[in-house]
Amino acid sequence: MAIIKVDALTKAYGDNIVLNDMSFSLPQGEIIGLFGPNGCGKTTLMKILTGLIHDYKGNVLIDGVKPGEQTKAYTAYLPEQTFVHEWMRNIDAVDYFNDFFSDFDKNKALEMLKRFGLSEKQKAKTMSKGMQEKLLLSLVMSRDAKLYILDEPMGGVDPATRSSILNFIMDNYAEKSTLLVSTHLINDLQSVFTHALFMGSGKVLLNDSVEEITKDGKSIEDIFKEVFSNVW
Amino acid sequence: MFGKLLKNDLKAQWHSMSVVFLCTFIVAIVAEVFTLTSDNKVVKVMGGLLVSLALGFACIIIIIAVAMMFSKTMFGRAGYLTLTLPVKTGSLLASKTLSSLIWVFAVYALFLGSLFLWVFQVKDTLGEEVMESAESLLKLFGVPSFLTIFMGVISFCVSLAVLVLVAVQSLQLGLTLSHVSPVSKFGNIGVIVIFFGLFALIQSVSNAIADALPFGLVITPEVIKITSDIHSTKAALGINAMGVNVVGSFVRLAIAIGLHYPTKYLIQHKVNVK
Repeated sequence: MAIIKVDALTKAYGDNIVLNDMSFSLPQGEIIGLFGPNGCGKTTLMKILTGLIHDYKGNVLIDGVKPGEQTKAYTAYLPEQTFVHEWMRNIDAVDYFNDFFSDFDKNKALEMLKRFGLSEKQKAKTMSKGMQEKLLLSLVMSRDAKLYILDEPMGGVDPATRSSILNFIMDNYAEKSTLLVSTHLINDLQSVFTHALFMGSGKVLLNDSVEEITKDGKSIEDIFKEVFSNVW
Repeated sequence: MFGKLLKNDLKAQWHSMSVVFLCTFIVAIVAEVFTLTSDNKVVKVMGGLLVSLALGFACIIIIIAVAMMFSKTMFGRAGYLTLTLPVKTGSLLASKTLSSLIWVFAVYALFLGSLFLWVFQVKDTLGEEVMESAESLLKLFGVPSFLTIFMGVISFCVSLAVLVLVAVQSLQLGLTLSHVSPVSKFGNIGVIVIFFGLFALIQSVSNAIADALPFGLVITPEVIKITSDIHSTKAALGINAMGVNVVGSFVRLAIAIGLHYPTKYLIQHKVNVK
């Protein structure tokens, strides 16, 4: 069964068409890698899926429902940039999530903060980009969501921390849920993906299981280079 | 869920509003020190006036702070959090409006309170005779008595509350429109033009309707009369009567409530969080 179904999706910023009559569906319960060069529309697609962009053409369904109030209750989104208020302490951010998301586990979030070495009382504005990213991950991964959408979850952290974050994501996402992860760090993440979606020039270039696309011994990174050398 | 939204909006707004309150508090302390330590009557009177002026200035600043908070929490980075909450857009907007009104009214109440205190301070410092002379002077120029003015102040507060609601709703619509193409090209200039344009339009329309329908109250020290023609009733009741047209406020209130819907529509269908 498809958790995400996109049909004839087109989105343009002025004259610049970012997503061009795109159609695809993504299976439930998979860890899906969303790959593509910079500016190919990955973040735009994720924003449409999370209900942050509305002026698009075509149909988008999350578990059979158009992105909105209902889908936001079971979709956990980690954007590329930090979203907590500057004045918030870590505990305020945890309480905020606890107030609004019924699938949020406060104790789990507090444990995660401890594991990352983040103090409950520390304010967001005094934290480095890496620390803020850890806070956001703790918040998002403490939800028992049906669908997790993570936009470059390791973009701002050093290589040494990447593997611990990756393990962290793998240990904490709710069972049977779907993970859609956009990343340029294919090498670091390719071992965990079970499905891959390649997009470029506003189109879907490849949408298949990792098992299928790597059956002739190529890695995801090799396929990435192969696909995009023809596109860009 | 609305209660949680309101609680979190008040909490978030407090962090920017607190600066306004803190500055006003410092001015009040300084003014109080001058008032208590000086024997000069003029300094004593000016101290109280200074607090009122600071609060009057805060009334303007608070509206700007409200607008900035709305923009920040809806369309800034925090918008990623606000607009991915599983709540109705209408509730989101209503909570932002109500929390803004609470802060604005708090400052306006302090401002009006400080004015009253100042009047009492002037009375204490300069003596009862000065106030009586002022009242006689007012009567001489055909202005109603202090008691009538006091009753009029209540209706003024209601009108002011409606006007603030119109301002907040116009600001929200202006800020939302400034994030919709092609208005987004004009940035903050667009917000200012839309806000003042909308505000002026609402004022003109409500004033025109109020002129056409002079329904309202005529207040005298003895009686409050409901009338369909405040002008003739006021003329009949004499110099101490004060007319209050309620139609204008009702029209403004209706328009302010109506502005909620285009803002909601734009957020639901047109706005893109950058």
